Amino acid sequence: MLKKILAGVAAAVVVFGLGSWYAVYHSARVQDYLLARVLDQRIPMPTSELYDKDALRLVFCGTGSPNPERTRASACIGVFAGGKFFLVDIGPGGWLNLATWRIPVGGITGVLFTHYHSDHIGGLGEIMLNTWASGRRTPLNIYGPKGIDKIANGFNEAYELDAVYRQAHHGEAYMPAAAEKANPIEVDVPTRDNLVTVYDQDGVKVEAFRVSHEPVSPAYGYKVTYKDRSVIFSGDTHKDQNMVRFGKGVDVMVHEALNVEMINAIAATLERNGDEQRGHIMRDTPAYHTTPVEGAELANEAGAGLLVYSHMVPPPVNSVTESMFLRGVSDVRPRGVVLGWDGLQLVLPTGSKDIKQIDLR
Amino acid sequence: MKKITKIVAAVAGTAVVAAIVGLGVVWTVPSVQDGVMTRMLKARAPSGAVNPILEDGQMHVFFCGTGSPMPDPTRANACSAVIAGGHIVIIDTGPGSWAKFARSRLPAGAIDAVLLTHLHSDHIGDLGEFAVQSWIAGRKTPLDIWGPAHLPEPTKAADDNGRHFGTSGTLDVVKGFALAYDADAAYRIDHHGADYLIPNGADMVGHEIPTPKIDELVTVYDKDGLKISAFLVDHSPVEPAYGYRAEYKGRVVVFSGDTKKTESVARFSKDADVLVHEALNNHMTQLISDALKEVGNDRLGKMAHDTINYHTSPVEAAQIANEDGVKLLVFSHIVPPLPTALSEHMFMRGVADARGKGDTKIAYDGMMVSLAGGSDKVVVSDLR
Repeated sequence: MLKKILAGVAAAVVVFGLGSWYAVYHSARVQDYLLARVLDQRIPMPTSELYDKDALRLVFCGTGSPNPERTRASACIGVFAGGKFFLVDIGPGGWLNLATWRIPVGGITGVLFTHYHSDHIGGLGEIMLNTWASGRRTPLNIYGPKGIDKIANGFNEAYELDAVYRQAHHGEAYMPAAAEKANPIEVDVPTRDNLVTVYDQDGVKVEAFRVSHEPVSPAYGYKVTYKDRSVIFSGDTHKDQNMVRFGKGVDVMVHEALNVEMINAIAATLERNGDEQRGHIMRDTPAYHTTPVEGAELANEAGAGLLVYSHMVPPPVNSVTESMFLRGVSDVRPRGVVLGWDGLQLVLPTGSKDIKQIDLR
Repeated sequence: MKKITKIVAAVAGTAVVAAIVGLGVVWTVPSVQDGVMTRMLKARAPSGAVNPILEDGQMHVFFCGTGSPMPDPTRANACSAVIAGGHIVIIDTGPGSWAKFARSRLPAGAIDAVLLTHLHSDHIGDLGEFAVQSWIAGRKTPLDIWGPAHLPEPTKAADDNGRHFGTSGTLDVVKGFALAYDADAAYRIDHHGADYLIPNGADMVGHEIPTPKIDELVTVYDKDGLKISAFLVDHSPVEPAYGYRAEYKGRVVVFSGDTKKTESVARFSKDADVLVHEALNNHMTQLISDALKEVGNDRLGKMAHDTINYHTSPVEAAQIANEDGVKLLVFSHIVPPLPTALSEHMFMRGVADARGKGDTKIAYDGMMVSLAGGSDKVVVSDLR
């Protein structure tokens, strides 16, 4: 008797499974229904708590470097505070990350460029276009050192026709022509001793200072303060005391990092394979970057609450390479270190010392 | 019986101990880590020797971007690479495509031309990346970029700022990227030295294709037996927009570019080995548009709906391929994104009926199609 019941149940399950499978694969209406449900889950909403005024939030949308790595886009970090939204650099791949995590970008306030290496600027065209398509109504303010006008003019010119097409295709009401462009704002930091205010509205303050990325000069780091919370970004630099000087007591220090031993191993491999060209180029890079241990020293000296590595060279690809990348760091700074990843969100509620980590992936 | 149990237990115990020790060694001994990493690098790093793919007498098409502007983590925007006669010619450089090309370990230094089908952002966004990275990979001469010409007259009155929209062409796009990446090139030459990064290689040289008649082929690239010609397609209001036909040792691959179903692709694909055709599934796109509006995103909902009228459906592309006797039809520039097997299945609804016996494939980033000269074989491989 029991056997019969079991057999009956099993048969029913099999029939139901086959039936569902058949319905899903062959019934257009069932498919359409499923697609509509999936879409409801995936499509970005025009608003989000990121724009709430209760916290300073960071979204890591590119923690890699020019070395190709599928899980890390090039330089891109979103800063949300007081209803404002800034991007610190916009390298290739950053936009795709934001889109994948359904981040509403139409409310963008501006882009802060640390310098103009390709891995920091390559995604600007995409951000101009997609923030415009998502509802930005005024030209996109882009801030940076001398040369910002070339970046704006270049991308404006390259994307001009695309903007025309899209405006003609979708209409002025949806994509007003005047809003599409990037508007360059040059930030002048005269000497290493200056901390220059770039933006100061509704409690959100952005300041720029010089770092050392010669021959790229000037190259900037940025500090963003919202009420009682603050974060400092190193940009690309070799170890620079300005991070301590201007980063005293920050909640979060976001620092670039290059692991010299790993880069030398890559260079040796390239040379052994007969690629002297790229071997040489690899060996040149450590001179203008900071090692993970040096970054930890700076964070300690500044008394930063949390150190987050971003712009990692080479990009760690698994837990072994992550452990290699961080070799020696725990001796200097046993706690308060995070190896950034694409999809990391940090929430710093105002009126508190908390730093909450969220994984957007 | 007992003895066997003991042996099994001993073997299992040894295995566990070995695994723990192995893990401990990998995690704590720097020299072992370095050894592991070096081995991994050897497998991954691009070789400096001449890559055999440049000398194998075949024409290859590598897909470095098979998606569209709708964000899709698995598909970069438009990009294909034609590899033949020792050259690599890139057709379109959509956002995200350089990263896909880099992962293939194909020899980027051999890229000597980029052909743009038209100047929409999802076809040009990575032009700067391709220029910089192929230079770093060893290209010593300027990168030639071919594409649509600017219109002779402004199509619209100037706006309040005195700007005429719609009058730029490939030269302007190239000039824009060159301007934006100028600082980058200077930094790199300063840093690595002109012996390693030949300054000439940093240059991009734009060429505007003289607009042909609707039934005319115009040759834009002809080197060492690889010939690529352009023909007009219909992506109105984007004009001119091009498809390309690549020929090498009697083998033919045709790229539709972005177009609604047009006679012109049919005309130039007669008996082609491979037709790479764009495809937008109208029905699925309409569902997306509806869903966007339902969740209150009217803007994107309208935009999704607007795209339907200037693309080709998978079934229409299959009809063309079938009439022309094309051996392999490949869908690329796929709208909407297809995250699951079910969505692929929906995308292909009706294609098998329209296509009959011919082969059809949905391209993916990392796919390569190879055509040996003097044969009629079409070999598909996966470089992911």
